[in-house]
Formats: sequence, C-alpha cells, structure tokens
Amino acid sequence: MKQIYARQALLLVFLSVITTLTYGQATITGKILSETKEGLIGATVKVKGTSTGAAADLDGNYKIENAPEGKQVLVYSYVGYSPKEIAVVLTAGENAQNDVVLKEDKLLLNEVVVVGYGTQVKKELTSSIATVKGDDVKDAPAYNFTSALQGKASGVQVTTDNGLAGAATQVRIRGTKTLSNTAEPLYVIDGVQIVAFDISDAGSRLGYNTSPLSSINPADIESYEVLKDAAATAIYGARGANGVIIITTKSGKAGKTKIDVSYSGGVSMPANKIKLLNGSDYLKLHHEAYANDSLEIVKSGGNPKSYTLPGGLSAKDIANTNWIDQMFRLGYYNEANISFSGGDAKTTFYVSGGIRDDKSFIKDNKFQRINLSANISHTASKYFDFGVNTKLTRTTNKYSAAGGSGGLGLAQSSMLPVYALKDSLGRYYDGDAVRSGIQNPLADVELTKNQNESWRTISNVYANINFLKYFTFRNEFGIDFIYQNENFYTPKVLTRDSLATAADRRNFYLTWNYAGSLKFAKDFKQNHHFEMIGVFTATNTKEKYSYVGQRGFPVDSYDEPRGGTYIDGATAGTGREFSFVSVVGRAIYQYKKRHLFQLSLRADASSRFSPTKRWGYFPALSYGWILSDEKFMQKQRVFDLLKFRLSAGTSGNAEFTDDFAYFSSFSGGQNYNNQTGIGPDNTAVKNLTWETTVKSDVGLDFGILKSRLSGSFDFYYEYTYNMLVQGYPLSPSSGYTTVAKNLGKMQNMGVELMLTSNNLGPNSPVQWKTTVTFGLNRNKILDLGGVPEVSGTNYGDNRALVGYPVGTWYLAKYAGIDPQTGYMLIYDDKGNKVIADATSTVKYRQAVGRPYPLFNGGLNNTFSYKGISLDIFLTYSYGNMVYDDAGKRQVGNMGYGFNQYEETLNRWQKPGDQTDVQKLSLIRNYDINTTRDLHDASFLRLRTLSLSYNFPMKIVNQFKARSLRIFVTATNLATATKYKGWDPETNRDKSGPITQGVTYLATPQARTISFGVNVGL
Amino acid sequence: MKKLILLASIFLVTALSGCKKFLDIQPKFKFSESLAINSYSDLQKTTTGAFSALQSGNLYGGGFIVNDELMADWIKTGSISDFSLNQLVSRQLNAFNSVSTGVWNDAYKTINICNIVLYNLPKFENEDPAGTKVTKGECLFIRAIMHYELLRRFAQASGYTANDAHLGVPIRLTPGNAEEGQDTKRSTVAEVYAQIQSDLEQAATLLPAAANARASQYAAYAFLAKINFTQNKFDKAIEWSEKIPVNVFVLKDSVNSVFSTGEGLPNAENIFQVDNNLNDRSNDVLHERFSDKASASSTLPLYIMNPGYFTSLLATQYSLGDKRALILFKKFATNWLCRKYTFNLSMNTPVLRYSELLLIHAESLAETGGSDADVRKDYNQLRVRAGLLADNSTSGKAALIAAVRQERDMELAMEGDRLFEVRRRKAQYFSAAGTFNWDEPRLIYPIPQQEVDQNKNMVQNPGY
Repeated sequence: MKQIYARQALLLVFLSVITTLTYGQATITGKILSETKEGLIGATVKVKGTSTGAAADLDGNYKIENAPEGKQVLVYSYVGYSPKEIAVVLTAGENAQNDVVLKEDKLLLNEVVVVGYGTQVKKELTSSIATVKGDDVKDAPAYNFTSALQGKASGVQVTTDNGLAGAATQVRIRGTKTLSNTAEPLYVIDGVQIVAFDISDAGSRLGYNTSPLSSINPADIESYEVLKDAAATAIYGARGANGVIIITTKSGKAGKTKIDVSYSGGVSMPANKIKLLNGSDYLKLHHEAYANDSLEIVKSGGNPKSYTLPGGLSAKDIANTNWIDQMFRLGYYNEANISFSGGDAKTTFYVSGGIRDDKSFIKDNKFQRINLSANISHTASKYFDFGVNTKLTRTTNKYSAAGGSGGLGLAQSSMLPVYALKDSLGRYYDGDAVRSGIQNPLADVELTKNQNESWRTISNVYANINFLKYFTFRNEFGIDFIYQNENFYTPKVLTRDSLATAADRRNFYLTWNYAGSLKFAKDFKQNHHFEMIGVFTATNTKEKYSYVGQRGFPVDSYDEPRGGTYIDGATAGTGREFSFVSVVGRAIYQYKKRHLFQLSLRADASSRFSPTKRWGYFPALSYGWILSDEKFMQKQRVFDLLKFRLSAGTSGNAEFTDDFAYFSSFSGGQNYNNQTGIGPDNTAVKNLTWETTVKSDVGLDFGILKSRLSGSFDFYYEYTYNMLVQGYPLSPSSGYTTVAKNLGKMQNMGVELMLTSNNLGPNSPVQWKTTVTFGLNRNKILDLGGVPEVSGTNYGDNRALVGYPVGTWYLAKYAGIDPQTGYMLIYDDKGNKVIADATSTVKYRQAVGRPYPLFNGGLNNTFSYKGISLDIFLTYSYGNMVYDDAGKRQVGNMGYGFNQYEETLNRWQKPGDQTDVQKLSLIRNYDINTTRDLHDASFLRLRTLSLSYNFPMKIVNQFKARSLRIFVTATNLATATKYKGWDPETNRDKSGPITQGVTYLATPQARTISFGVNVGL
Repeated sequence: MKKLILLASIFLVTALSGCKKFLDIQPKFKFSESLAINSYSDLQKTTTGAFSALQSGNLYGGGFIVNDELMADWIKTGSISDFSLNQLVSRQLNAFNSVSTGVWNDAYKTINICNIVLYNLPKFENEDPAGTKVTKGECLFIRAIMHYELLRRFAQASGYTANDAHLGVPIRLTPGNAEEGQDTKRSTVAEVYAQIQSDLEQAATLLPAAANARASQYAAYAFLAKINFTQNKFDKAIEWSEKIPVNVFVLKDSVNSVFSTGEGLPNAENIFQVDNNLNDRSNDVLHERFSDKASASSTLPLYIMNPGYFTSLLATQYSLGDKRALILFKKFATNWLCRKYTFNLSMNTPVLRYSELLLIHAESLAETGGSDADVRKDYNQLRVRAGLLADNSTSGKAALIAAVRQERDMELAMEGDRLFEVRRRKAQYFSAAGTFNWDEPRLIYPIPQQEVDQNKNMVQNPGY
C-alpha cells in the first residue's frame, strides 16, 4: 500500500514540475472588493484553464505567482457573488491589476447549498431543496424557528398548535407519508441529527404539546435547507422519507471583527376571541332547557322535578363573569442577542449569546431562553482544517393548563358565567356542585406550579484532511444532550382528596452522531467534473429518566416530592433507545457543467428491527440539464437560467415511540400485594420493517430578464408502501389490543411553485420584490392491507380510509335540525334523515373531509426605498377543515354543563324554526359527533407586517458603527376565514399523522406587536 | 499485501460484529418472551401478574363497582365531563364507550395471562409439583371469574332464552398472539357457564383450603355457589355454599370492618378480595365517586343516592338504628351519600363477601323449601351484626324471599350487586334516566367496535 502512495506522490511532484517548466514567470497583484469596497477575504482568482491562482487576504489583496505569459483570462470568484472574468495580457514580471469589484449574486446561483454530508452550488443541484435564509425571517418574533418557516418554502406546511409560550408545531413536507408515530421531518443541525419530538409531559398533564425545537435560537441560524425529493432525502435513508430540514448556524467570515447587537421587544394578545353566553343569557337558556324537559316529562305522564339553578347556586349567588377575559393579560417579550464574528484567513469564529423572556397573553404562562454558542474553524494547512460548533441553551417554561386539562380550557367550558370569581368568603369559587376538589381556572393559574427547566447542548467537532489533491477525509462527531426537569405541583385545595400533589420528572436524552467520509473531486479535461463521497455514520439516542410523585405534605409550602404521606410513583431507568448504522455513497458527474448526474445509495440498519430485517437500501438517481448554458440558448435574452431536473429514488421511515416493537415481550411492575409479578407487554408481528417511500420529481428552475423574475416549479409523485402502523388493532379477545405492523400503501402527488420577482427592475429607486410560494398536495390511501380503517392515535374521529386522504374525518353527516321537533338529524346510509343519538351517529358515520390543506403557501411583498423597507407577508391555506370537538358540548347542549357559544341563542324554540341549534334540554345526551361541528378552516392571514429603517452610513459612521437598523413588526394582525372558533390554525395535544385539525377548548394564536433595533459595530 | 488483506478483514469483521452489537439494543424495562418464561418461578411471577391485572381500574380496581352502580338505578349524578360516563348516565352507549371497551380489553388481557401460564405449566411441572398445582388452580380460578364478569355485562342474563341458548361471550382457553386466535366466536351463555363451572370445579381441587390465600378452594366454592345462584340453580347454589366449612369465614363485629381493612391484609369476612396497598392500588375511583365530603357549601360528591326505593329503605333502616344506614351511609340535607369507600385509601376491594354467601344460601333455601328458621338463621346473622333485632317471625316462601332480598339490598348496596340482581329477579330498574325492564338491551354493554371490526365471527349486541 505504501508503495502505491509513494508512486502517486512522485507522479504528482513530477507533473507539477512539468507545469512549472512549461509556462513563463508572470506575477499578478490586485485587490478583490465588494460593492461597499470592503476587501473580500478568501475570494479567489484563477488563470482560466490552469490551476494557477491565489486567494485574497484580509484586505482583499492577492498575488498570483508563476502565471503563464500572454493572453489570459482571470476568473474572480467568491461565494455568494457573481464570478467575473477579465481578459488580460500578461508580461513577465509584475502585472498590477485594477481593483476588481464583485457583485453580490441576487439570484444566488453560486450560493452554496448544504446537502446531506456536503455542500453543492445551487446552480448545480439536481435535487429539490428549498432554502430559507435566517435573515429573511429574522424579524418574525417566533421562538420556535419552524413557525417562522410557514409560507416561506413551497411544499412545507407549518401549523403552530396554539399561542401558548413553548407550544409545538406540526411540520409536513410534501404532505403526510406515514401512519406511524410521526410525520415530522428529520432535523439536522450543523451535522447533528437532533431530537425534535416532544419529550415533556405537558401533553398528558396540561393538554398541549411543547417542542424541544424552542431551545434553538433562530438568531443564530444562517440558513434552513428543506430537503424534499428523493435525490435530496435518500442520503438520509431510513430517516428521510418525511423530508429533512438541515439547519446551518452562523459562522464567522475572515475580516474585521464584527459585533452585532440586537434587541427586540413587544406585546402580545390573543389574535381572536370567541363569544360565549353571558350570565343572564345563560340563565335564560338554562331555564328554557328545564322547561322543555318538564313539558316532555308531563307529556309522557311523569312528574317533573322542581327547577334548580345551574351548579346548585342560590339566586343571590348568581354573578356575571367573563371567565375567558380572566385568563388573559397583555403579554410581552424581550429579546436581546449579541454576536462577535470574524477571523483571518486561517481562523474564523462566531460567538454569540442571547436571552429571550416571554410572558404570553395567558396568565402565568412564561418562556425564557438563554443561550450561548460558538462556531470556530481553523485551517491549519492546505491539508488539514478543523472546527467546532457548540450551542448551549437553558430554557424554562412555566406551563399553563389548556384544553381539557384546565386553565383557559376550563374557563371556556365548565366555568359558567353565572359563577362569581370568588365566593362570599373570598375563596376560589367552584361552581360545579358535584366536585370536591376546586376546579377554578384562576386557582389553576395562581396556585399550581407546573414548570419545565431544560438544558441542552448541540455540539459538533470536525476535522478535514485533504490529501492527494483530490481527496478529503472528514471525521465529524456530534452530540445533542438534553436534560429536562419538570415539576408539577397542585396544592391541596385543588385536589379531590385534599392532599397536595407534587411530582418531579427528569429526562436525559443523549444523542450522538459520528460521520466519517471520504470525498474525491476532480475535473478531467475541463468538461468532465467528477465527485464521489463515501460516508459511514452511526447514531444512537438514549433516554434516561426518573419520576417521583408524592401526595399529602405536612405544610403547604412543600412543592417538591419530599416528605409526602403517599408515594404516587417512583421510577427511574432507561427509557427509549435506538441506533442507526449507515453506509452512504454519492457520485456526481457533470459534463461541461450542463449535464449533471447524481447517484446516491444509502444502506441503513436500525435497532428497531429484527436482525434479519434490519438493513434497508435507499438508492436515488437524478439528472439536471442547464439549458441556459447550452450554445443554442446563448442568443436569447429572456432566460438567464433555465434548468431542468429529474429525480427518482426511495427513502424510508422507521419512526416509533416503541423502540422494541419487533419482538414479543414481557414487562415487570405487575406486582400484587408486595409480590413481584410480570406480564405480557407486547406481541409482535414477524418481519416488522421500515416503511419505504418511492419519490419522483420533475422540476424546472428559471431566471428571467436578469433576475427580474426567477423561481422554480416542481411536480412530484410519491408512493409509500409497507406503511408502519404502530397501533394496528387486534381483536382484544385475543388478549392484545394493538400490534406494530407494516401494511398498506399511500400516495402523495403535488405541484410546487416558488416565484421571486423584482417588479420595478433593479435600477428603480423604489424596490418592490414579490415572493410567492405555493404547494398543492393530494394524498390518498391506496390500500390498508384489507383493514377498513386505521383510526387516529388518540382522538378517534380522524381516520385512514382506503380511497381517501389520510386523516379524513369519519363522522355522521349532519342533516339539520328538524323544524318540527327541534332534534338534530343526520343522514343514514340510504340518505334518509334520522334522529342523531349516540348509536345512530356511530352507525352512520362516513368519510367527510380532510384536515390537511389542498394547497397552501405564502405571499411576500417587500417595498424598499433608500433605507426604508416595508414587508407584507401573507400566508394562506385552502381546503383544510377543523373539527371542533367541543362544539357538541357548546352549541345547544345545556345539559353538559359547559358554557355555550353565543350562537346557541339561535336555538330551536317552536315548531317551524329553521336553525342549526337543537332544542335545549338538560337531560338528553347531545354529546355526539356530527359534521355540524366540522368547519371549513381555509384562511388567508396577514402573518407579519414589518417596517424597518436602515440608517444611512453618514449617520451610522458618526456613532462609529457599521450599521443601524430599527424595525416594527406585527404578526397575525388579520385573518380572513369562515371558521368561527378561536383560530383556523389549531391542533389539540397529541396530534399525529392521522389526528390533525381537531380542536378541543382551544387556545388562540398570539398577535404580537414588536419593536426592535439591530446595531452592527 | 497478504498481511494487509488479513488486517483489513480482521478490521471488517470486528467492525461488523461491533455493528451488530451496537444495533442489538435490549430494553431495560422489558424483556423478550423467550427470556420471560424459563422456569416455574417465572410462571409464578406471571400468575402474580394476573392477580395484578385484576386490580385494573376497569375491573376490580373499582371500575366494576362505580360503573355497574351508574348503570343500575340507586344513584344519580350531576353532570359528568366524560363522553363515556355520560353515555352510561343516559343509558345510551355506543360501541366506542371506554367503560365497556375497558372491561372487555382488560378482562381478556387477564384471561390471556392465565392462558399463557396454563399453556406453559406442563413444561416446568417437575420443578415443583405441589406449587404447580396451586398456580394452575389460581389461573383457572381467575380465568373463570373473568369469563363470568364478561358474561354478565356483555350478554343477556341467564333465563333470557330457553336453555340459555342466546349469545354469550367468546371463550378463550389458549394464549393469543398477533397472528392467531383473532376470530373467536361468541359461545352461548349456557356454554360459557359450563366452561366457568368446569374451570372453577377443577380449581377447587387444586387450590389450598386456606382462608387467607390469594385464591382458595373456598373462594372457588363460593363462586360456584354464586354462578349457580345467578342462573337461579338453587339446589346447586346450596350444595356449593355448604362445602365451605362453618366458621372459616365470619362476620366481623363492626359493619365497616370489611371496608377498613387494607394493605393486603386478610379479612375473615372476605372470601375473595383484591389486595391493595398504598403503593400498589388502583381503586382511587371508588374514593372519588363515593366521597362523603359534603362541606357546608353546595359541594356534593359525585354519586348521590337516587330518591326512590333505596333511599326510603335507607331512611327506614336509619330510624330502626341499622348501623349500615348509620355508618356506611350518611345523610346530608336531602341527599344520602355512601361512605363504604371512604375509610381507607388502600382498602382491599371486596369481591365476594361471607355475607353474600349467607344471602345466597338463605334465598336458595327459601326457594327450595328449606325451613323458615334455617332461612332466618342465615340473614339474622347480618341483622344482628347491624344492631337490629333478629327476625323470628317471617314465614312462608314469598315473605322469606322478600325478607332475604331486602337484607341483600341493605347489605350489598353500592357494591355493584344491584345491576345483576334486577336481571336475576327479572324485575325493573327505576333510574333517573327512565324505567327499564331487566332485559333492556340498552343496559347490556356493546361489544367494542374494535372487536367487531377485527373479529370476523363477532356478532354485535342488538341495538348497537
């Protein structure tokens, strides 16, 4: 082996000697500058057709030695700038050149795009990747970067669950492709595959999900790359089917050290409020419901009971309280960031710190994030460079209960408007006569302590060894470590048994990634560019947890589980754990930089499957043709860029909440009377394996009239088979209720369009730029392995049904209120109207609507004049529906004990009444699911409106600053929708691929108005 | 070069085997089935697991009692913020009802655990022949009582058709898995009772004759008496109940003793109980629904006695000084509250009490022409313990039966007995939701939709 290397090295030396000997001895010096006359450190200049060249130093100076004499062309290039070619005649000795100014590339064709295990120049991409720059979303006051991506990239659907601080988002890339645990994409931050699923207990205890993505400070993010088609995602193999979002954090650029300081702050309030009955209307309807019942009892020969006021109140205690308003406050947030970046030709750095303090518009709900990060890279020599990216974050989140768990959910439901805030003795009032623990949302907010403190570090270290000119050997090791401590405390006045409860829950999630790669890149005879990379990766995620809960404390001030009378649970140990081992290969061949070919193959093994079913192979092939660079296109002036893309391949999904579903198992803890017991835990289906999505994509990228209009268009078709269903139902009489199984097929197809237009041209003093994103997706379940339906994971009205889109609602079809009797009607299987009750509404269910939009996207308009810039950003979603699960209890259902929507005033009162609200009753069970509560939730939303001003250099220079910018931003100012609930953009807790668009006693989205200042020093 | 190849292959082999190890992750909180059952002691632990399964909140962990009383007619409730409980209150269930689904799933899960043990037991018989007998007896016993609990909730009562040829529930006698046993059909009520009878009789020959065992021979006898009584087979009921020797079980002096004992301690009055202790209990639902915390405000507990027959019985007995009315119930304003489940948080849940056996014996005697004095002797024990005068006068079959039943109503109130007694007596329910006949289809649980969907031989109950 050694001999071979030596031989090659010799050959190399020999070749270079020859090269040196062949040409003359010209030396060229000069400067490469930006439009603002700053030296572009690291910019390169090359003598065309040779390997002779140089890089610019700190001030942009360069010096090429040993250049050949005569007529030559110098090629200047720099990342993110248009390259420039200058023809020169070189003579022996010094040749001083004029300063060369490179223009920033508005089309960003030469922009480097991060792809899996490497980077590519955007123009040369053969895959479908959407890039969103951190700068483009920097004014959006979101603490979770995914919500800032809404409408920014075509084919990406982002739904923020609600406006609570720390709430989760749902992200879909080109629709839902799975029925398993999650349809969320894979997130890779600086090469680390991170944990993105909710690891908190907020979902089960407080009725909404939180997201660990909130721990990442958007201010540190340079770019988001959304990997969509097979050519892009196959490189992530069994984890790539749902799409991949690669996040690159900011790094330093050689040059003067820059200090950036920013502050922003603002107020927040609910974006919308629903209207419920007030006290007097409630009383009126309550009595009417009683009267209706009495009349019926008399008719059937019975004796009606005497009237009692709601909640067993006596007349003197009747109040009129708006409980919803009691839960809101004016929220506010403050955020400050500082960063230092810079470096020299060898070392660059980016060091930052940030703090965000957010008090949401819901009382007691807080979120705070403090973070530090450092990205440092160093080029030790031509042969060796290395670097480290590290982020450390602490987040604290004070939870506030929502939905069915109390708080605002309670305030809009069983807290009737007739209840007083406090009783005559000043105690929290608990109107519901049949409870013994106080159920009062204000008490919830003021007395409970439910909080989350998380520490997280995402770090990675890498080293590149460049050898034999064409090879790079890279080693990369990264970790994602989360320590999360949640505390839940409920004082004794709020519990049924009058014993305070306290719990302490800790989770440690440790993920590590290793990637070793060998890359080869070479141009052969100018026309042939060849690149190959081989990667070996391994990753492991492990959870350690502990939980202690206690009840009954000697003094009320004890809010931690110590010294309690009863133990409510004490467990600790290893929870989730999974590993992936993969071998990845990618080959790129480019002919004349016009015909681009890419082949990738990933072999993936997952610990989630049995040894015989462990390995999966995910190939992808793609082709790109840059038509605009062809000779026959050189004469036309319309297209600056015209590129055609074609890709096909597969990627997989192996996501489970049960990492050990492939074998039948027993578990302990089934104890009885202090004897140790065990019991069956899981029964397995043989041959469980990952699901596979075959993806194909045809795309077109274009730039017209010198970038006046540019964009890309994609059509895709994706076919998923071997779908993973974790909760596949068995006959419970067999002793098991569910099993994990592969079954069925699903397809997604769609069109995506992204357009950017500079409406007034580059030379107009007023700039008007429009960006449109549009994504249309049609999903259809093709086969469920003979099973009629697979229901949603938690709340069973969403279904997977053959022939329908995933998540289709399966509900009885509402047929109006019978004008004669006042009872609700539904359609039976023959289309006749029958009375809606618990049995008929189950018997006559049908497929009735989709939770996912038909199409969605965004529309951004930016107007700028001198330093002033106005940004109007709209997002839209069409064809999605929301099922209001509380509607059946809040529209004409006085007997349920919830306050009612104001529309209940339109109830049926006498024969002949045409209305959608049934005859009121206190005793009939109206707790039934029908399409009356299924609503069109299409919307057009003014997502952000932002006005900013960049102070002119004259003023800025007086402060010795580099830049000064101020801005005002408002979010969710207006929404056009038919949906009458809190917000069309909503999701209840535990949403998944099937369960979407369901809301229950929802929390609204936030409207924020904020102000900010950015200073560059 | 050869060395290089050798080195490379060694590296590859190590790397690949390392890979395999890296990917073979064993969970720390569960273990594969092949590791789980390797000895008799493993099967003992699994049997303990079956007892633990009985503690389920859907079964003897309190669900049976609270939900059966909700379906019967002696209580009323305020509004309940629960989709499924609301269906129970209005007697309008559907096949998604979580209460009925929970009973079905958990009872069959428990039966399956028993079947796993019974299936594997012969392999390890030699390890401990005597122990094996007890384990087998326990599993047969649990399998039988679970089939019984299913049968009386998901099928019409015995006597609904001649020879009980109407549909019962599926009989499960072998372990299930994902591939097999997915389509077990419903056997007839008579067939299910025959299976229960046979399991219990076999269990009785295997279980120890010790009163404080987890499951004893006497418990098997008592259940045999009870299932025969449920079918109105009075001779058999007498025969089985008399197999339990006198004085093995006694009535404790105080009426609340049986509800105060917890921490898994035996109670001489309980023939079969489900043990609970502070760290291992699931009967909180009993304390919550039957809370007696009626403060000075209007706050009442969830379950309040429904005005009607039972509250007037309570009032009468209260005035007579019946300790059951005085101690086990409490009158607050116009409402009666039940206190049976408020004495001890870690109360053992009584499943079959000695008092019930006495009542079964008494009523069976009365039905079959036993002497007046013998019948009165049985139920007088309950009267005397409650601080009432012994009844020395009632005579005649009809009067005696009425007397026993009234004693039963008083003694076993709020213990989940009423729902099934109305069916056995072929009487009527007078509930807040209306008057229903004993065979009202709405009071029979629907077969869970999942079972109907996945089991192609499943037949749904009428009306669902």
